[in-house]
Amino acid sequence: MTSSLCRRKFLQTAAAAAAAAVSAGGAQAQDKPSFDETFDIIVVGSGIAGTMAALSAAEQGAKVLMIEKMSRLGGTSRISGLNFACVGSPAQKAKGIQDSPEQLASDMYKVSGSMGDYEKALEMAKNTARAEAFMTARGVKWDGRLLKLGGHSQPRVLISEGDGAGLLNALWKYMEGLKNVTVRVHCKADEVLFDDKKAVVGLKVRENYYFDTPESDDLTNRTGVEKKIRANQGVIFATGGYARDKAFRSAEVPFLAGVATTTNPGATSGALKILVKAGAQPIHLSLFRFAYPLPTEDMIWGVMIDPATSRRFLNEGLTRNALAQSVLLRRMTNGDKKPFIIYDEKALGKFHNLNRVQRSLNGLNGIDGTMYKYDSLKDLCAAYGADPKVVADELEKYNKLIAAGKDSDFDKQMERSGRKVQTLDLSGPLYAMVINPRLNYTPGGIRTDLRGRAIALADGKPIEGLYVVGEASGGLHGQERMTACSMPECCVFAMLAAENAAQRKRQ
Amino acid sequence: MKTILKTSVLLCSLIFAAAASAQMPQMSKHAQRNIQCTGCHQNGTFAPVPTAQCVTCHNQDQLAKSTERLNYTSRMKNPKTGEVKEHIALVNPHDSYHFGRTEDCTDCHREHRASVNDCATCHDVKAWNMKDPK
Repeated sequence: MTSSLCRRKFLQTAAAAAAAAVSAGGAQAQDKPSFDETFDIIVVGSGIAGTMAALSAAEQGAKVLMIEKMSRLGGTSRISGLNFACVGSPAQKAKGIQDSPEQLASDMYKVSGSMGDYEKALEMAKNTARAEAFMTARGVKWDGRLLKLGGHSQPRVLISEGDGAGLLNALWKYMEGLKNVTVRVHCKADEVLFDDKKAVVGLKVRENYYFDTPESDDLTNRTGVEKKIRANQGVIFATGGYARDKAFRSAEVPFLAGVATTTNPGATSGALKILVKAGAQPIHLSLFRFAYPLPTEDMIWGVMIDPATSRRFLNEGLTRNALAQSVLLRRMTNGDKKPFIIYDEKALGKFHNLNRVQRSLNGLNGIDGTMYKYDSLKDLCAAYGADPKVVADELEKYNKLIAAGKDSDFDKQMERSGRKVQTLDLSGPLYAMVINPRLNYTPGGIRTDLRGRAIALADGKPIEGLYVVGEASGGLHGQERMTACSMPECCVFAMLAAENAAQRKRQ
Repeated sequence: MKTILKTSVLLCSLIFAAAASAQMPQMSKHAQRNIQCTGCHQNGTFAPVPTAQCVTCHNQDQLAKSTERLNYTSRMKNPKTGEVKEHIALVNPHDSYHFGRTEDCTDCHREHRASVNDCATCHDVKAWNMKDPK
């Protein structure tokens, strides 16, 4: 890997490139682009999908360039847990778990609102064990847990040591030893270049690009020096989602305008627009996926209050997107006041995993993700601007309903995963935090085939030499992406796309 | 021809430099120490300054050490078992849990306008006792 070299070399190349840009002015008008540099495969983006694509392509013998527009590698993957749903892992074998690709694919389809792609999910699931072996052989360490998370019919989720950052650091360390991979940060893709046979032959980029804000990223930020780079075998877009792009997401779904997100600040729609301009078909752009600082399935143990009315307003046991929709629609009518959730110690004890509670209680769980402890309900209500008398009244009513075994107000389920919903002990201590749903994943993107090839909008056929993998692609998950299923999508289709591209005849 | 072009480019940049220094005020201690535009912009353009340039004066080890005190211990007692779990929160912006030392200086520190706290893009930093970057 030659990233540090690139940065140092940049001082010299920037001036040369500027001169080249001036002298290339005439050449640009011609049909066939002239190139400043040549690689076999260019990978755009450096999260888990980009990293896996670059590694796989390099191991197939291709000369690879991986570019990243931000100042640092890793995108959203680096700040994510990268929980990995994997069928047939050594951990599953050691525990004698009977799982199959068909089970994972049908679990995914069940939550997809009949909008997911079963065939593609099956292709993904069949290749997860291979992706696990690939990563393990290149230094990734799993922390030993095998989790059965929400929606999964089997324990199959692996967690890497050090979360996403730990996993990526291991792969990048391995990448450093490969002479045929070049990595460049501050390098933004601008346009896919085609030959006269409508096959992709390269990419127009800007080097020394300096990201500033998501708003200016694709529209007004003109920093950097243009360069045309030839790709003999293909260009793989692993450019993530567009959760940070307010204008784009709210044009699709108005109530997404003001939502929070803790994705990579560079998660804008720019790459998607480049691909659409190149003729690729966008799909499922109106879909969304919300996440919370606390596990969605553990909201059920608490009581959520609207501070405007000081009353409950929903079933806390809803699915992630339904919960977010209720909260966001409520905020559109209550003066944008954020609802908050109340737990007692007994309720916290019901969480399937306390790590996220610990992070929340210690200010480590992101914007609006901090949980506070209160000695009394009065103190709690004062902190969240609710009327303590009304809240006390509401909680007593809630306790009566739970004790009677039926939530006749909002029809909350009385148990989950074998654990019963219980009454809250109002004498304290109590715990509370605001619930501000985060748009942390955008299921929509470019339509692709089973090899990650971009599908052309015009004729439904793959575009020669153009691949889109990971969150940048769309259509696999449908309405509700199951937890821990983005990571396997990223890894598997990155590998399949890289292998497919590396088998193409060099042009 | 090339020489003429080069000279005129250089001349233009010098004129631009004079105009720019008036328009692009220095906001850090660089101005107090009388560091000129070209002290940082060394390649004949006014493109953003790469971190490799910053660290020719600023020592990265010292920087990381100077903010090490921001790391803290997070604690929680399991309400069911009473077991106390501890964990070191690596929130040192110059050597962090997510990014190690790979962030650019300019991700937070800006010379010509107010600096930003990159951690606060995603985090509730109130609990961290972190001062705003200069």
